[in-house]
Formats: sequence, structure tokens, C-alpha cells
Amino acid sequence: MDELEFRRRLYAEPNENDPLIEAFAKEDADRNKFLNDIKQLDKDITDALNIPVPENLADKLILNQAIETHRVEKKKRRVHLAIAASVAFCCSILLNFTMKQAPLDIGQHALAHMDHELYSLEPTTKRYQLSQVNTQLAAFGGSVSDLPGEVSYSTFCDFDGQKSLHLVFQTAQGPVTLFIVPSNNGYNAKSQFQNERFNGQIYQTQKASLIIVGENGQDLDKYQKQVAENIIWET
Amino acid sequence: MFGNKKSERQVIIDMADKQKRYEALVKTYHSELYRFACWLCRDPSVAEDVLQETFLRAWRSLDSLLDQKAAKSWLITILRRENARRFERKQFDYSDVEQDTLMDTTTDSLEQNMEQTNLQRQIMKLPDEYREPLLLQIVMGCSGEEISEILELNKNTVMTRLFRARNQLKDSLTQTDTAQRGVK
Repeated sequence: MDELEFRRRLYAEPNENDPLIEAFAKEDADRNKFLNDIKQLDKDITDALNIPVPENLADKLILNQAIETHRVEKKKRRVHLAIAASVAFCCSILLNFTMKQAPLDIGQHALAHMDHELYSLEPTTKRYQLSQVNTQLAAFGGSVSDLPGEVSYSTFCDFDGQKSLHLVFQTAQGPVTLFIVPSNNGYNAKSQFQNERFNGQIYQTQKASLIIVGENGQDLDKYQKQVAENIIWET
Repeated sequence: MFGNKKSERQVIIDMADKQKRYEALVKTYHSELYRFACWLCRDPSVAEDVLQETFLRAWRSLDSLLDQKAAKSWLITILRRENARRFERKQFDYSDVEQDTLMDTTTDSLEQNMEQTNLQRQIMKLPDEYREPLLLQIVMGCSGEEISEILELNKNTVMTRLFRARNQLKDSLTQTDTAQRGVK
């Protein structure tokens, strides 16, 4: 160790307390004085830097953090609420959507419709010409050349939100109802359905569902075939 | 929200644990850090703001502090960054003001706030690059290695700066001593 190294190291780290430095200082009175001087200087600097810390600073820092935490929690709660609200919103939209899109049990609807419009089956002298029926059917872009019987009832009906043609024709076995519902409605083509009084069948053509309903015991197969063969759709 | 009871309890325990760790950090280091910040910012009220911000940041990222031994360096690093951000903000604030009309109010306010001794004035006059290692060494009790890590300097540079800092202080003290004696 030389003089320069000794001073450099003391200036850089006066409190290192390296025995080598201590020993080197003891060899010479000047060095010893320098050692003590620099240690004194460091003590003075330490004192000078040692400014008072405000009381309660620690408490303030902790309080500040508590407020921050509370704020973040509140924000989080708000975010949670927002998420919950969005989820509920999406659910309702989705539910609405699926409800609309869900394949309907068309048979049940047809039966309900029958029960609702029972008067359509009551004996009547009213008769519709084939041309009259065709005029109405033209609204869906179709026409019939022949029907299994005379038409005693012909009207546009709301068939579960869809405009449809409700026909009743008289056959040897009594009145038979025919619903013509324009297609693309995603109905479950469950071909047979029935309740205590009526039974029916669905026939899906290219452009429309043909739903034939008659009283139990009536043979609907042949009527269905007849209708299906005689109905023509514009392309 | 979807957790079961057990994990909920675990979360509460973790939070309490985090709170405890945070409070321990505050209690252990707030005095030293406050002093360090005072001398770094030259203004006690600014220093307190910087310290608040520092501890808030520390709280937010407390989970990233894995080694308690590194806590001091970690806090100092955050504090220095906060202090640097202050200057970024300041520059932004004053961007449309004539720079040369600005007065150095911070030094003044420290003078008003503190009854300064000659030595304190001399420390204040030290260039930042010399003062900061000295503060880290004396106020924060950092070793040469720690200082070089915090300041991202090599250790020899740190030693040289510490040497120059003390050397300047010593010189200026003897100068003012002789000046005072000369007046008498």
C-alpha cells in the first residue's frame, strides 16, 4: 500500500475499517491524523445529512396505501359489476336469439291453432273457387291446380309469427284443414302429431311446409299426396 | 367471485401477509429514504411526495419483491425513477413557459425550510453525480457494490466519485474556514 492508495481508499470508504489501512496509518503520525480527520469529516457529513424526519411519516405512508387499496378495490368492484351487467346483457340477447331460432314444434302449434279456430270446421255453405284460393296463394308465389275437396274456409293466418294460408276443404270424411306456411322457417319436420281430437302430418316441400290436420280417424295420407302433387311454386 | 371458501380464505391471508410486509418495509426504510429523497430533490415537501409515490409503487408491485434482502436497493431504484419522472413532468408542465425566466425555487425553499450549516450548503453544492453516491453510502448505508448496482456504474467509477465528493467537501470546508479567518 502506498500513500495515494491509502488516501484514495479512505476518501472513498472511510468506514471500511480495513486492518491493512489501520496498520498503514499507525506507521506515520501524519497518516494517522489524516485517518482521524477523514473519519471526523464523515461523522460531520453524517450529522449534516441527518435531517429530521416528519413525525407520522410512516403512518402517512401506510394510510396512503390503504386509501389506494380501497380505491383499487372500488374500481375492481365497479369492473365486476360491469362484467356482470355485460354477461347478463349478452345472456338476454342470446336467449332472445335462441328462443326465436329454436326449432318449433310445429305440430303442437298447428293443434293449438285448430283449437283456437274451431269454428272453421263448422258446417257452412260458403265455398271458395280454386281461383280465389290461388289469388291468395300467389302471395307466397304458388298455385294449386286441384284440391281434394271443396274449399269452405280460406284465410291468411298468423302461424307463429309467419303469414300462412289456412284452408279447410270438405272431403267425404269431413272437413280437413291445410296450412301452407312459406318455408325457410326451420321447423322440425316431425311428420306426425296428434292430440285427443286431431291428428296431422307435415310435408316439407321446397318452398313451404304443408300441414294437414284432420279429426282422428281420417285418412290424411291421400290428401297430403294430392295436395303435394297439385301445388306448383314459381321458381 | 367463482372461488370456493378455502381459496377465498387463502386470498385474505395473502392480503394480510402483503399488508404486513408492506408495513414492515415502511417502518424499516421510511426514515432513510425520506432523508435520501430530501437531499436528492433538495426540497422536503417534494421529497415527501416522491416518497409517497415510491411507496405506492412499491405496494403495487410488492409481489415482485421476492428477496427481502434486496428490498433496500429495490426501493431506492423505485425512488430514483420517481424522482426522474418528476423532471419529465416538470419539463412538460413548463413547455410553454420561457425557460430562462424560471427561477431556481427549489434550492431557495430548502434554505427556507432548513437551517443550513456550512457543511450542508457544501453538500448541496456538490454536483449530482458526486452527491448521489455519497448519499447512498452515508444515508442509505449502501456498500460500494450496491451503489454501483443502483447507479448502474462500474465500481471503480463509484469509488472515484466518492473520493471526489469527499475531497471537494474537504477542500471547500478548508476554503471557507480560511476565508472566515481572513475576514477576522
